[in-house]
Amino acid sequence: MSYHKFLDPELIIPISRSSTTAFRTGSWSRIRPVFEEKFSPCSVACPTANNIASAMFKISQGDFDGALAAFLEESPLPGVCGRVCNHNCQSKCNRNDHDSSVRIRTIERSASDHGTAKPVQLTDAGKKLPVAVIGSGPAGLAAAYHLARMGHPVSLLEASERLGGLLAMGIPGYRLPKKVLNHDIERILTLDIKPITNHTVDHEGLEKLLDSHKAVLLATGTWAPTTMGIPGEDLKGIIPGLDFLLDSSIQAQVKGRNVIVIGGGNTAIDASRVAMRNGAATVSILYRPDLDALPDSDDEVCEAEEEGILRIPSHPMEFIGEKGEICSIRCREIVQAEYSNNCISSSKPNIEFKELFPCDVVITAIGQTLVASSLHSSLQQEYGRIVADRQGRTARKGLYVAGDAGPFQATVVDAMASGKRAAVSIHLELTGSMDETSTALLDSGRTFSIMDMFKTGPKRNSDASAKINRYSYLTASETTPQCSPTIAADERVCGFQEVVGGLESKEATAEAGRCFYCGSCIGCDLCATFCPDVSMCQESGKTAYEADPEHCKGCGACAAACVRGVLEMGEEQ
Amino acid sequence: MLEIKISGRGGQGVVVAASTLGLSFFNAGMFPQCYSVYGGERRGAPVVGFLRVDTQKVLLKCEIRRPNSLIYMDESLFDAREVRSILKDGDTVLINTTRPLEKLGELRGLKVGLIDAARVSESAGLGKIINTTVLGAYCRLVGQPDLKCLLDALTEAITVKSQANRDSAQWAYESVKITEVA
Amino acid sequence: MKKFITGNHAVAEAVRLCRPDVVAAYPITPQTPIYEQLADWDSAGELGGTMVKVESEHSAMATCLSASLTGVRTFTATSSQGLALMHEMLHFAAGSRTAVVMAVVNRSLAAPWAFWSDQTDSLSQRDTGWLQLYCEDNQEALDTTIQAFKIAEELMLPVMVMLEANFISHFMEPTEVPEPDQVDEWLLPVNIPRRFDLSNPGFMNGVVSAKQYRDFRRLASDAMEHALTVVERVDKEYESTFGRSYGLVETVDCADAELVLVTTATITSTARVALASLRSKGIKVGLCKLRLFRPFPVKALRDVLDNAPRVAVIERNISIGREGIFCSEIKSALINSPGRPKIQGYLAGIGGTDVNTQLIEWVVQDAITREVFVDQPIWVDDAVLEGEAQ
Repeated sequence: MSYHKFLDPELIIPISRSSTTAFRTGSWSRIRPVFEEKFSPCSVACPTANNIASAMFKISQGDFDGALAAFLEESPLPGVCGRVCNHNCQSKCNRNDHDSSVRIRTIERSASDHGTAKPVQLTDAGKKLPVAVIGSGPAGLAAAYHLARMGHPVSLLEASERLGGLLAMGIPGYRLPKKVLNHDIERILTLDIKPITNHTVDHEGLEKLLDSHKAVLLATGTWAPTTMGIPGEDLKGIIPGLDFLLDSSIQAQVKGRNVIVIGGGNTAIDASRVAMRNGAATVSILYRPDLDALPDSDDEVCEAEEEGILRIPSHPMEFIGEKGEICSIRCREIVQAEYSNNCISSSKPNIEFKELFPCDVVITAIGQTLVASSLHSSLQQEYGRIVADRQGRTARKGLYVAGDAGPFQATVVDAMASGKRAAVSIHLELTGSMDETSTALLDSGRTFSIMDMFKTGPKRNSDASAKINRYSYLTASETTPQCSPTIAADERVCGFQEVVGGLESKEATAEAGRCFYCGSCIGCDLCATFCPDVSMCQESGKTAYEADPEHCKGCGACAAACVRGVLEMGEEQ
Repeated sequence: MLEIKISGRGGQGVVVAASTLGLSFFNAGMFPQCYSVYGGERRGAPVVGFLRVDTQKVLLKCEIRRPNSLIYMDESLFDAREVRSILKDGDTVLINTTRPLEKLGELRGLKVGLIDAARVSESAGLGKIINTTVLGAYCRLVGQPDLKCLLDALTEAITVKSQANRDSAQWAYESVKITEVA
Repeated sequence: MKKFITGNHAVAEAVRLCRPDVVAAYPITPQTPIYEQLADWDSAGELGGTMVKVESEHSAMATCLSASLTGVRTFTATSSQGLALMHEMLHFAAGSRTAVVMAVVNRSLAAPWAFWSDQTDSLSQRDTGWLQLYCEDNQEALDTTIQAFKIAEELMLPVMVMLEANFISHFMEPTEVPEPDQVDEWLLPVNIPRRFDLSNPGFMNGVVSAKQYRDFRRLASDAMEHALTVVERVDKEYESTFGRSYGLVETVDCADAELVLVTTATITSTARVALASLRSKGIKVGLCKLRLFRPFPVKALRDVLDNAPRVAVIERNISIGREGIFCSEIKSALINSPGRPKIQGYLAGIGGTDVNTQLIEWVVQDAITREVFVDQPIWVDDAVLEGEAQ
């Protein structure tokens, strides 16, 4: 078709059929987008720095193996943590501002339930540097796991006949079935770890270990009950919480009796629920709002209350006995301030205050302390724990401490985190590679990622989690989290069956799909789409996006478009 | 040229009556032009429909100021003195009313059609809908268009209760009282 | 087939016959019946193309112009405030050399609020680069709409077809609606360049230099000049198939006229009646109907008016602070002509007020006997007739 000059479609309006690549717009600017994956807020809240965003994305794509592998990068016990972790992560989830947090703990459990993966070796630099770990609870297991991944042959010493420590003995099966724990432990033992059970270490034994190993990590936990210091504590029928949880013959004694548990934390809740399952006539928890630790999560409190356990804020002042046996507890009134300051939400109406609580059995669960053994008494202690720094280093060279035995938060995941830090500290010390960067990573920051340690290039700052683009989720539809199947209260108190079930894989995929993947690149391509110079590209086989320096003029559209805060503008390198 | 003004109230179907009457003339081979004037579109407000009908294309694109044929669909709008001032001798006026001619005032010189449209519509099963009924009476009064053209237009334009509308128009055609007032 | 329909309905019929690919419009009184009729056909599957729901006239035009750039046939319709809201996009449609066709129902612009006929809305869009055609009756509105697609697509310039509120939009008249196969044969399937095309990507309307801008304007201006030929040719082609044509201007009895009355749109139709009456009284008056406003048919007008000693322009619009817009344009068209007739402007029908034969006859009498031609417009309405009677 021929046109008049003023009708030629290619000439009558400004139209360019060539590409803009001829314009070297890159020379206009000194700033460029910097691609840097960051900690998500949930990862920062996770003491063991699980790469949650990555695991979520994998499950959202149906890749349970990949998700399990992501969890195993930082933590050896996904089956355990997927059930009993206090999930600080969920309280920091950005989805809270939108509808409701992603059920991260449930997803970790799903990864463990539906996926298979092997631990990955990080280095073999520790090959000829054996380390002994005393205690096989969460801290000991985590330390052994990470040490082995760094090449160290580990001797894992356990006083009892089986591995797991508190996980095996202190957490009842209705919360953590034994086979789940064993599955996690078996995976850990595929590494170069030699378990030695029924082996108690005393002061002399420690010295021998320090001779035969390059380093020794103490992760013995706290197994001795703390006393309340009130009259009548020696009466018959008053049982320390851990003793009760450990010994089924003691548990059998509560059948038909009126039980009062004193304390507020996990042990108190577990003891009360175990008492219920052993046929106690009534079970009440007396907790001191101003003194007692709170349980790790609301879920357990609710479950306990559903099972008929009363929780009463109160201050026991004296145990009253008859013929040497406990028969009631005298309490003082709780003042309102004490009550409201520290009271966990309760589905039950407030219980009317009574001064005298009659009872047949009292279980005290107000905290534990180090066992008074020759092993511990040879070491410097403070507040009932062995003195150590953040890396677990004691005053004695080569001796480290992790978990409840050391000055660390007393939760499963914190114990694991302290085990990991100590393991890395040991490795760096033994291989002579402790430097400024490593020290900074170990000693500062809200969480610690072993993967970052072994990653080349700049390390992520765990004090600054990804800033996500809040406008992006204004458009996300509000969704309800997937519900885990739960056994009815009247049925579950009849035995030790696991109360809360896992999600089907399809449900898990849907739940993980709710994640915003803060700080992680999921290849959404928005940066490339919005780049006016078509200069953002993703090299094949790589996840990172890079701006073509010849054309990127540093306008920042990509960084503004990046939903997950992975791209940010920075100086040209 | 026939210049028709149809007066009624909002809800009585003045606009439909005007366009249907126009269509009837159109079917009869004439050149109608039709428009309506209505202000606030609400029930009860006065509404006026206009038609010009000629044997050739109507060129005037302006208001009809002095119609030579009037239709009152609502008796309350009828005023004999006003009608007499507009119409010339021999012009036609159709009034929907229950009253006899004597009670309507001085209409000397005009050709007057009276129809109790409500009664006819009611018996045809149209309830209070009287616009098509009035058209039947009007055809007879003016002598055009042919009743058949009107009935065809009703078939074409009215899809609801089509037969009842045709019946009603036909009965009105048959029962309208026509007087050339002397 | 002859139908007894309103002007709005006639335009809708024309649009359906032209098989547009994309229709995007927003309802506004008194254009709404066009939109409703097309929407009814669309939902009955009789329109063929795509009707795009938009949230404003601005978006309607943005949709149509973008669609046109992909090489499809597009239509929209609006009125008054809607047209004013579209203004920015009108420049884009013309500057991007699209072939959008738009029916504009001329309606008074607020404030104050009103619904009746007034041409100031479309005349205010004079400089947007669109062709403008003003129609006299329902039939012409239908015919011009069909012609508009052919003109727009040949020139790659958008075309506005004007019909007046009430007098055309809502007046029912016998209107000849052509047979579809006849129109299909006359108006071939759209064949305009696909400037938005995935297989031939391009970037258009980037920032240009001052000189480049000037050059693009020049090309558009040349195309607009060329449009005079195209509009005339298309009108003739239309006549050969459908038997009706309208010209750029139409003249009646101008050869011996002592006064030529210039009109546009529906006033023309009423003036034809007045003219016959005046001629029968022996008054030598001619009528010149201006149909095409952009491009302005300077030569065609000169050919008619240069020989007339007196010209009266009667119109339903005003550029406040000057006079009727057509009058100004006609004066400027004749400024260099050898004949240089005297020209008097009359404002009649502003806001949709009635322009009847008596009013037109008064204008003719006034212009033919007037001793002094004034530069200000003369407002005429019923009051001048009453003054005459006294």
